[in-house]
Formats: sequence, C-alpha cells, structure tokens
Amino acid sequence: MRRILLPSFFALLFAAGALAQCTTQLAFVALQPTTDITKRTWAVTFTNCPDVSATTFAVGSTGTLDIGGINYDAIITSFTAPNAIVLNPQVNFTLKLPTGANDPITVFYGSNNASFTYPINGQPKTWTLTLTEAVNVRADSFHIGRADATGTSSDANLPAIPPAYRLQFNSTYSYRPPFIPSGATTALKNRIQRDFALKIDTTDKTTGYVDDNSITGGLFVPRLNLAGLVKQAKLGAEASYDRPIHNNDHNADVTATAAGYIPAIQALNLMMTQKKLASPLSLALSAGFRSKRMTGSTYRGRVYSGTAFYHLYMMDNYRIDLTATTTYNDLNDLPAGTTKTQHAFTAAVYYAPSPSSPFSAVASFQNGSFGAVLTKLKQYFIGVSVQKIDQYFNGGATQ
Amino acid sequence: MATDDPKNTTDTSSAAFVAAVTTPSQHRTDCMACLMSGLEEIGIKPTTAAAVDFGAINSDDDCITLAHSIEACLDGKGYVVAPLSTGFVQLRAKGSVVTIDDFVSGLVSVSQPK
Repeated sequence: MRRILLPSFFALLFAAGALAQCTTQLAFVALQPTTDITKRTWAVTFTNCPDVSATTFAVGSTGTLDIGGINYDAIITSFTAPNAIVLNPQVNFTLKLPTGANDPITVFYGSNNASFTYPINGQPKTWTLTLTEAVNVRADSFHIGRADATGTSSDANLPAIPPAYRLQFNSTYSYRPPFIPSGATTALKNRIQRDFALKIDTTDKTTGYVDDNSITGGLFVPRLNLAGLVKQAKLGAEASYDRPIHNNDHNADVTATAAGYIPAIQALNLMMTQKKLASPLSLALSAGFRSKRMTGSTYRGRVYSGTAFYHLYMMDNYRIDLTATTTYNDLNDLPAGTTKTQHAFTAAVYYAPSPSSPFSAVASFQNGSFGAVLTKLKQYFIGVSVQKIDQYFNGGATQ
Repeated sequence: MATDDPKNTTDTSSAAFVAAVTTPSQHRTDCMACLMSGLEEIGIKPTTAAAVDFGAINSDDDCITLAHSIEACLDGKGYVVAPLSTGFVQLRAKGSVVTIDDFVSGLVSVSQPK
C-alpha cells in the first residue's frame, strides 16, 4: 500500500507545481462601431507570475505585441491590480497603427498564436500568450509508427498478434464569429460558426488493432436574441460519419440543432438572504437522421433529443443543478428490449460555506440512460472538491 | 456621459477602489447600467441586491459575451475600459460569487472617462 501511496503523493506534488505555472492571456475590448480602432485597449493577464507587478510596466512605455507574425508597437496605458472582477494582474495597452492599417482584430481572428515582449532591466522579455477568445482554432497532429498488441487474449493457445504499422491523424478547425455589439451590422457569413474535425486512427492489419475513423462538420449561427423570448440562441446543423477502414460497419448522423436560454424562467432562489444570479433555464434540442450498420445489421431512422439544464439555490449555502435529457429514436430493427424513448436525469448538489464563497460539489444523483450507448444506470456520488490546491504548494504567490 | 475627473487616469490601486465604493457618482451609475444590460444580454434578469454566481454561468462564451457587452456599453457612454473577458473566464473557472456592489466597484476601478 505504501508503495502506491508514496509515488502518488509525489505525483500530486509535481502536479500542483505544474498548476502554479505562470501563464499569460491576451484579450481586447469590444468597441462601438463609431469608435476609432486605435482607441481599442488590449491586455495581457499574468496568472501565477509573481515577478510581475505594477512597477514592471511604465505607463507610456512601449512593448511589442506579435499576433500571427505581425508586430505591433504596444503603448502601455495602465496596470490593473487584482480586484473583485479581475483576479490576476493585467497590463493594458493600445496598439500604434499606421494610417489606413487594418484592424488588428482581423489578424487576431486569423491567428492561433501571439506573444508580448517588453524590456525589463534593459533586456527584452517575451511571454507566449494564449488567446482568451480563440475564435479561429486550428490543430493538426500526425503520428506513424509500429504498434504491438500484447496481452489482449486470455487464451494462451491463440497465435500471437503480429505487430502493425499504426497511422494517427487528427485535424480540427473551428471558427467562432466575433462579438457584434448591439446596433452594429455584419454580413451573415461573418456570423456563422464553422466546425470541422477529421480523425484517422488505423493500422495495416484488419484485426487485433484499433480502427477508429471519423469525420464531422457543422455550421451554426450563435448569439441570437429572438424577440427577448430566447437569449444567446444557437441554431445550426451538423453531420458526422464514423467507420473503420477494414470493415463495413458505420455510423452516420445528420442533425439539426437549436439551443438557447429562456429568460422568463430565471434561476430559483428559495430561503436566501441574498439572491444569486445564474444562467436561466437552458434548452438544447436536436432532430436528425441516423444510419448505423453494425455486425451485419443496419438501423436507419429519425432521432430526436432534448436537454434542459437549470440552477436552483436554497438556504444560502446550497446550489442544485438539474439536467434532464429525453431521447427518442425511431430506428428500424432495433434490438429486442430497446425502448424508443429514453430519459436521463441528473441532480448535482453544491455547497458553499458562506453566501459569498464559491460552491463545491458534494453530491450527485443520476438516473436513466447515459453515454453513447445509452447505458441504463442509477448512480449516487458523494465527494468534496479541493479548490486553489496550487496555493498550498507555491506559498500563495498570487491569487 | 462621463463626468469624473479625467486626471484620475491609471490609478487602479486599492485606495481608488475603496473610494469608488464609497462615493456614488455618474461613473458608478453608468457602470451599474452597463452591468445590468450585459447580464440581460446573456439572459439573466438582473437585480441590484444580488450576487452573480460565475460558477453557474453556463459557458466561457457567455462570460466573453457579458464582458464585451459591458465594454461596448461603457465605450458608448464615454469611458475607456480595460479588457474584462479574461477576468470573467477565470472567475467562472474558480466558481466565484461576486455581489453586484463589488462588481460595479470593480468596473469603476478598471474604467476611466475618455
């Protein structure tokens, strides 16, 4: 037992050290359409960076912001110390733009990377930035190599599975439209969220190895306010196709989706000394067509799904999150015993020691059919979450 | 419109923060109005004697929309404001609860008249 616990403890220590790593985030403000783009304030937020303080950056001095390989002079305008709504220090600046220059926001939307350079004690120091509002996410990975399947069979008399060459390729692309202030107009194509993902994970052997390949794509129009009845609505459609390369099983879905908040049904507060504000009732609906072929059987038909999510507060210290999902599938030739309508319900209880402290999960209850294969279960969970674990290991350097 | 002293430019220290809390002003009124409209933008019906539970705002996208709504609103009322989206996303990750009063004080401290 000690052999297990000791390495686990040190693993936790190293993990906590990793949590306390200095990270930097880039963000910008939204402006009214009539405001000059040179007035736009940008900011770099320093999280867990104890060497950064108000004296690090002199107001009026110049740093360099690199977005997607384009350098901009960054004129420091202020330094924001942590307060109730800004948890970590941030340096604010405007960008010096040549006459007639394009809005750097356009560059930001087309880029995946950025860095900020500023002279400290005469030496330039560069921070690699993550983009708080990643609107144009692209990621590709490619691996090829030998794979060995060992210990997969309990029957020692079966012949060993020969090694294989494995190919893994993942490509994801997601474009999220920028925030459009009220009163501003933009072309419809600039409001469309586009998601695409391609995954290939296969080998040159027909059996004994993973063979998991899929392609998915979707088009959505997010951030719609529908006559005040639905806020932050998101409408769209998506399609996916999964299949192994070495046999004819497949799973194809084409789905129309709609989601949004219902402001008329706000989070309920019961026996609270101070009201808490949270996202109102959210609904997500989908309707689609599924074609599934598995071990010689083919299922086809319509699939409908609806999910409701709601927050409820009680007696100052408790928050209850309720989730209910109903799925109806009209597939033909369903296996015997499979019901067409399936329900899933989850209730999670959160506790806060005081009305102003964060909530921690303490218990949850799940009942119904969950997961990709709709496994029927009834499950209880009781636990305690540990928050701000990093400050126990870095001396509470920053918060 | 902004009426505060424009000389109070870059001081976001705790002293300025406390002063803002205790001194009702047009600046504070404008920040309150922009907070209320930002919350409505993400479907929340705001009241002044309440606290925002960031842990129960359903997505980072909502936090960013809230931040940009407030920023654009304050810009329209004649203020320069520091970017808010990173802070809101981090508040959500921590599950923080912020009273409306503290929220407005925070907005006052990160904005200044143009």
